[in-house]
Amino acid sequence: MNARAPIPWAVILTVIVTFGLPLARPIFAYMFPELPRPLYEEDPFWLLLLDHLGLVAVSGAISVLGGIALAIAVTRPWGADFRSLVETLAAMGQTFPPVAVLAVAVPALGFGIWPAIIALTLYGLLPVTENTVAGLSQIAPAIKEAARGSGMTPWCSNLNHHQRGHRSHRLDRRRQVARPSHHRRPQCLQHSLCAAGRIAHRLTRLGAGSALRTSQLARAALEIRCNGGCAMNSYPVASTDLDHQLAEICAAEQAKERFWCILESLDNVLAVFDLA
Amino acid sequence: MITFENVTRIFGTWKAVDNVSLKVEPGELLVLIGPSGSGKSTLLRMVNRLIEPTFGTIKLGNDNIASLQPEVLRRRIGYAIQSVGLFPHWTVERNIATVPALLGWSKEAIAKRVEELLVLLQLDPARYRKAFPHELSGGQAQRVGVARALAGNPEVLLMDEPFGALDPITRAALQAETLRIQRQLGKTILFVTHDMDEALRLGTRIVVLDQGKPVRIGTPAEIVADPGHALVTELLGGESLGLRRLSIETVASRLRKGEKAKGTAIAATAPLGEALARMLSESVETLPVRDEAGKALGSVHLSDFPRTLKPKKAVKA
Repeated sequence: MNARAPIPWAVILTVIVTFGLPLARPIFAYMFPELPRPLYEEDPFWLLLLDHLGLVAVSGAISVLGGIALAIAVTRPWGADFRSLVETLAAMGQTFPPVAVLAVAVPALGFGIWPAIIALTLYGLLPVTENTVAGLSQIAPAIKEAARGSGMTPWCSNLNHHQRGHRSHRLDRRRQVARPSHHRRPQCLQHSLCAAGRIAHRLTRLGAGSALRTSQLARAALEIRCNGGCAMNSYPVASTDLDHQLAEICAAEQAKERFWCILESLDNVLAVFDLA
Repeated sequence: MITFENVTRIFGTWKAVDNVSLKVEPGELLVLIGPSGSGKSTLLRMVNRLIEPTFGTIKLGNDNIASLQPEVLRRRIGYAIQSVGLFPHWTVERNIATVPALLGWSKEAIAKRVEELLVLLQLDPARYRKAFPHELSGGQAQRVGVARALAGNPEVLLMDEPFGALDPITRAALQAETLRIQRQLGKTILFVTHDMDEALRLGTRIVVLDQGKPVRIGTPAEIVADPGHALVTELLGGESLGLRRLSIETVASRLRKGEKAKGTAIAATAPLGEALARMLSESVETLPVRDEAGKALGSVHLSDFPRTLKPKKAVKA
């Protein structure tokens, strides 16, 4: 086993904590003799873990999908006017501490999963939107030119395409975009991956959680970058040292299946949502 | 192959391209040359509809390009640019496969085509197929750029100062490649440059543009013999125009038929510059001339070299 591979370690630690911690009751009782119940024992830990994963998966997915959609919309010529509005709204979502959102949402929605989902979704929307916008606007003009010149559709190359022609042309174009095509999908996937990488990166920069988590996230971001192809938006990584280290890992793991990489980084991202 | 009919493009109040009518013949390498802002790139980019003409029509073969979907049109046209614009997160193989993939070719057909093109552009497939753009030198990247432009087997190739950012040696090598590929594949190429040497070397015809209008159209030999316009003379290097003629005109144009001379014969098809170089290095003023087969034709005299008048008038006289 590769000692630097995070997935096996994460799995092992999760299993140990989930099933081992309830057994540690005597230790906690010794450390905190004044507490009648030093350990939460109403539900088994694995059930709490599942709840937790479900919560972050749902809110994270909504943030990612909504954020990317918004970012793509406001970087199109027809959506450019809304760019600052969307950025402001997303920033407001970020300014609200999730606890405050909970405080507002609970009276309206009652206790349960919904206020938590709303709070986490709002909190996650800014990084996703902001970084997707940043990523899309960082693509070098030469690459856009080449993509356009090669005959990629705007949706596919995710580029501005100002069509000065007749209105019917524009409608044709949209219809073409809406038609599912196996040629287009890979490129679009690439772009979603870029965005996912950016979320991870952004969260890293937010410094959420411990240093350990930070490096895990940066690593996830980088892995997405090299496996999922985010070099297109070469974003700065906080520490060049870390970057260097991670670049090595990337090189070693390039052949690794993309799917695993995505799952892993999304999980990391979602864990931070939860921390927040 | 490409026909411009009264094409005008206006940006704001500025006429970038001013009522241009032009025909690019099949299999021709037509060079557009002119100073910055002369409209050469605008003219080129209207062919694949990266820019739309304000007035006029452009035809590709018999199709009016305005009636085609821009993306569909672009997949029929190869496009190579100075900044190359390789997709940095894709391997060389995948970059080259861009257009075939968009055209929906099968995996096997694409792999075969990539191999073919890497060989054509003299990049070792085993070494470069899986390389990423950042691992390539400028010259190699542009080779990949040209391969990508050729990949979809396009009817025409548009090249916008493709070698402008390369060092002189790499540029010369790629120019030679372009000529070889052009001869081998017989592609119609529209080529933009601001470098007259490149234009003279590559072009079957050259169109000199100034302020959106063609001021001179002709073969390299015609243009060197008779610039016909102050701008063309300037592009040809003013005073050093005479030296350029040495590389365009051949020994045959100064042949004294039947006269004999000593020394090693020079081919009638060799440029005058080569004859001059021989004369200087051998300290002689005459050289014998032979044809391709080695048969003696006559001689060439140094004193005839200044006779660089306009060929038509010379013929009449």
